[in-house]
Amino acid sequence: MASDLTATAEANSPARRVAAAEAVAADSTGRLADFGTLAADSWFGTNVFAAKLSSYGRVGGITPSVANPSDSMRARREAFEDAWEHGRDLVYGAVNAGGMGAETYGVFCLLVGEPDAGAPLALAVFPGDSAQRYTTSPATLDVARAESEATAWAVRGDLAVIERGAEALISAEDEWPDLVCRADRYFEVVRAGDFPTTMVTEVRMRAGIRDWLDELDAHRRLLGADLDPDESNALDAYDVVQRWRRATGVVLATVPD
Amino acid sequence: MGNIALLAMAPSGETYMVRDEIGRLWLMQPPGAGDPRVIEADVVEVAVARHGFDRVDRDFTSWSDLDDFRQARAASATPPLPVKERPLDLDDVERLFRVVRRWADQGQIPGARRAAFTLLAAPVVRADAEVHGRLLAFVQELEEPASPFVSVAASDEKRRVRERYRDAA
Repeated sequence: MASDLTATAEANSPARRVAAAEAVAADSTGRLADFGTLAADSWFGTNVFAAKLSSYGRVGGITPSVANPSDSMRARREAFEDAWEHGRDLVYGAVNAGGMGAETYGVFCLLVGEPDAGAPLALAVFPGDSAQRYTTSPATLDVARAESEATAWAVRGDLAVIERGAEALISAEDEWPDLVCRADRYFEVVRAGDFPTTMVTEVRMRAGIRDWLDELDAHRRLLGADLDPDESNALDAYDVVQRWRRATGVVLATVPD
Repeated sequence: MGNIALLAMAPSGETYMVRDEIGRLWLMQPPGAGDPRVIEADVVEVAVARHGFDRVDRDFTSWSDLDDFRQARAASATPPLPVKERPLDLDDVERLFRVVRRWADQGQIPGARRAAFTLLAAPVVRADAEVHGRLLAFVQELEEPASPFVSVAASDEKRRVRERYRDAA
């Protein structure tokens, strides 16, 4: 029997708030409160490769990835998704408080400021990657753990304080965004429901990637040069981003290398 | 030493995962994204299962063969955008102009000049006097030698004569 993910996450929220408040109260330096504020003022981030971004541009929406039908990991993904209503429609992202996000999965980081807008059918945050955290092979899901760790979007800052507070206290403030999200460790956000690309508020790229794309664009547009297929695909995705910039004012941000 | 392998790739081809001759797994990303990074096998699995990467699992005997295969697959995997080329706006002009200036700084003068002329012809540039003027000045700078030629006087006497002549002019 599938559960209502948003409701499950909301039900866990009071306990998260209390635990985070206790931790903040116990910190005489006040730094933990600052870390919580940073984590609470964060975005839904999803890193995508060029073909996926171009696909979003074509359909005008952020859509779930299609898993390879023959893939062994597909069963694990579906075991997690089938625990929730609308689970097969989930889009996966990460809480992003700055930086390039989970860039293993793509050099374009799309950021949505308000994923709770538009009445999503499901929305929750988890302390880690759900496939690795809750499922084992062959496709066994630890439902109780997943249900107990689901957290509401609105209390993601509290979750960060609980999970990463100890590290935040011994880290410099400029390292805090990496505590919230880096390539190999992040707070996963899942969302189901209509997700138009007009909800994207920012697209973030590494400075080196931006330079590479501008260079390719100059070669193609100004000199008529032929590009390799991967370059051409990347440039098509960049063009989608430039169209968004012009149409909806999406911010193109650059992260220093 | 074993074969190398392409394990998985973004359908667009710019990001991919490989196994090297000694069995290490690497994440390969486009220029500008940093050096290749060693990854765990789980990363490949998650990329395929949840993020839309294509599983390839194909062995190659050389990196160039692997690259040829990846490019061929990237060429067939993504349909072109069904839209005509987007006309440039001023933001585009500025970022492309930065590239063209870089080419000039690197000594790639013919390419920089050709690209600058293409930019000059863009409707948005022709409609903006300030940007048009800047680009035109840039092109003129490319046309001129780096510094005016000055002949060296053979003696102090001749130099004083030249200076008198120049000052009178």
